[in-house]
Amino acid sequence: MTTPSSDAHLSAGSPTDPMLRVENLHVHFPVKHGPIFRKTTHVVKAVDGISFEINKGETFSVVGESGCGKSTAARAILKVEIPTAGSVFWRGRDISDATVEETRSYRTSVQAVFQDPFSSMNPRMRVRDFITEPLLLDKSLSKNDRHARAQEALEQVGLRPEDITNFPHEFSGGQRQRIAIARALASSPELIVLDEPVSSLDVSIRAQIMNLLQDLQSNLGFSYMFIAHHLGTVRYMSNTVGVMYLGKLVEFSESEELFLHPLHPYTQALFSAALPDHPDIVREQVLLEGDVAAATAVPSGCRLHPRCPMAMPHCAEVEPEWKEVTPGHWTACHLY
Amino acid sequence: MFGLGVAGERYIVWRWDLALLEVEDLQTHIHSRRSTNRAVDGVSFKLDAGKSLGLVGESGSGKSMTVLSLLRLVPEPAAKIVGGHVRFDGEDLLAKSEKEMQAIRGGGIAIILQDPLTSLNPVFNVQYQVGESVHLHQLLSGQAQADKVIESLQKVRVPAPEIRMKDYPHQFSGGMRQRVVGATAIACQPKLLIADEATTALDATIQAQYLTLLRDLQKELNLALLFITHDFGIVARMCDDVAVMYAGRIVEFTDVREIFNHPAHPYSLALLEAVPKIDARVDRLYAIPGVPATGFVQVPGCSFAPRCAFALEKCHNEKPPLVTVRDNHTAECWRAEEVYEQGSALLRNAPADGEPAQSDSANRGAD
Repeated sequence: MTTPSSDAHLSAGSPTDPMLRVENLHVHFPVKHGPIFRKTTHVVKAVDGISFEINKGETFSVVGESGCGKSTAARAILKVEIPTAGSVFWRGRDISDATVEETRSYRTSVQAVFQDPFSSMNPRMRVRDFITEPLLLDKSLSKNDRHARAQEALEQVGLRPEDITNFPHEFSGGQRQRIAIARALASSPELIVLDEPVSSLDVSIRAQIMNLLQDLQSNLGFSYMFIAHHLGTVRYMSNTVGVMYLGKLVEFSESEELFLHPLHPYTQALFSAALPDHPDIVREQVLLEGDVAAATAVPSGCRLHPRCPMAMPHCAEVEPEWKEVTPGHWTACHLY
Repeated sequence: MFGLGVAGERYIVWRWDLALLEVEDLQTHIHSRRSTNRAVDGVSFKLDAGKSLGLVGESGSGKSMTVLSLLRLVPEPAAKIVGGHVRFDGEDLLAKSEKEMQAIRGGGIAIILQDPLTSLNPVFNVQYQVGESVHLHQLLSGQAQADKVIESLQKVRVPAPEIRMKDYPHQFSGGMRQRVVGATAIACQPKLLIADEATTALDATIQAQYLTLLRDLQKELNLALLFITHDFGIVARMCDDVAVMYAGRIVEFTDVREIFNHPAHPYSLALLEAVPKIDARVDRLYAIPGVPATGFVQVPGCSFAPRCAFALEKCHNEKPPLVTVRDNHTAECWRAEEVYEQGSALLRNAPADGEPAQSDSANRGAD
């Protein structure tokens, strides 16, 4: 990679580089046992080699069942988890060997909104302090600047600037999620990681928040990494979608293409298990046997083979390659 | 379908065409120091044996309180059932003594709750927990009790039940745990099974398996199923009839195809339009402005009126009538007929002053 430029932004790399590129990312957690010489007895392979790119102004969604590693991948991008192997490139620059200055600017550019607006907020902090906290990183901002930014952000998410002195308990779940979004907005980010941002909200509030997220994106032009398990939400929000199973991406494509032509048996099973939008819709059942294997004992070959209805003998031995089946539509399956 | 005759205050019921569960004008209030929450504010519905009904609503709509009321499990003394009738299998549940109710809970009516980890006790094995209800309701013990446990675990398709029943809840996966809860529920041959958000905590593929299982059990055991859910997808997949609840009242009641094809209440219509579709691309969701109303605030008119795209002057001032738009299809709305006829087209052409589509910022005051 090229050398970092003199300004604090991680703006190295060629202009054709995607904004964020994840290459062969692994995040493993050792499980240790024993009183003194803590031996590693197993390794939880939460993320086990995934690669994807997020372009400016786009929404990339990750779907998968619980335990597939989608949140861990997001945490690695947020630099909360340290990758065991592989790297995350921001504008062509590897974030793991960035300088302190660069990391600081990276952390301003990449923000996060989490699932539960009740546990993501400190009940003793006023909205003002909650929103301006990430702005403390930018030493050039005065206290008044920070407050002005916070008020502006509150207005952008549809709350009143006066709400700035209130405490979290004075707001409903939907409003709290708006405040969490305002906090992310305040530092003018380029990428926001949304980890199940609407799952804990009521149906009527979900639509409000999703529409708000879309409006903000079209006005301010940032990118989203959107993590969700509800497929309708994913179809509504995304440009591109990646499907994860047991720490690996099994399929990646442009959103509509994926919903119209799912290739991987796991994606097909996930779609067929989705609840119908109308009682007359009867989905073709692609049933997987049993439960997801433990991330400590990942099956050999293709990870899905013990459950896959289309499994062939060599699925158990050879790990399928990640290949482009039709332009822009990638999958890892021996069927293709 | 059913026959009811009223003689004074008493109902004369013809058993051969009796609905299994009849709830009439049920009212449960929750009192706090400052105010009273009319959590359940006049709920009426019927459920026939072997049928399934979905009770749909957002949080605070009173759907869970309704269920607790019919089981007489409301958290007294703060909450009180203040009126109405609940008739189950020809008997008035609200007139029963606590002891008689204990025989009905888990006996005639069983319930599956959302989180299997909290409904199971971590320090007892599965045999004990499933066996407990068998012991209490059927007075079985020893080998007969164990056989019964194995039989119910088999019914919910837990593999190798003779071995697995010795295991503790933490040794089961999430889906299997919920099956164990299901085994406890069906162990005493209930006639009515209530599923209160029973699959919400499960992953999509596990949820699909569980719903298929419930369908099979319903057929095998001729169970009546009452689904409490916020998800219209569950209703579409599982239910014959659907009741939509808002602020403690059932605002619409009809069969499942009707609600999807011709919703007659603006709330049901808006709720259906607010859910992103899996089978079609939606460009813009309809977002209902404001937040769900609860029973705390009493309004003179319709409680949905402040959020409604079609609200008229009188909607704010007068209680809406119960309109029967078709056989077995009722909605509590002044404009039910119009909504029924025109559906989402009406929503698209809703008056501009409400600006429901861009309501995110416009209506933030209500949120």
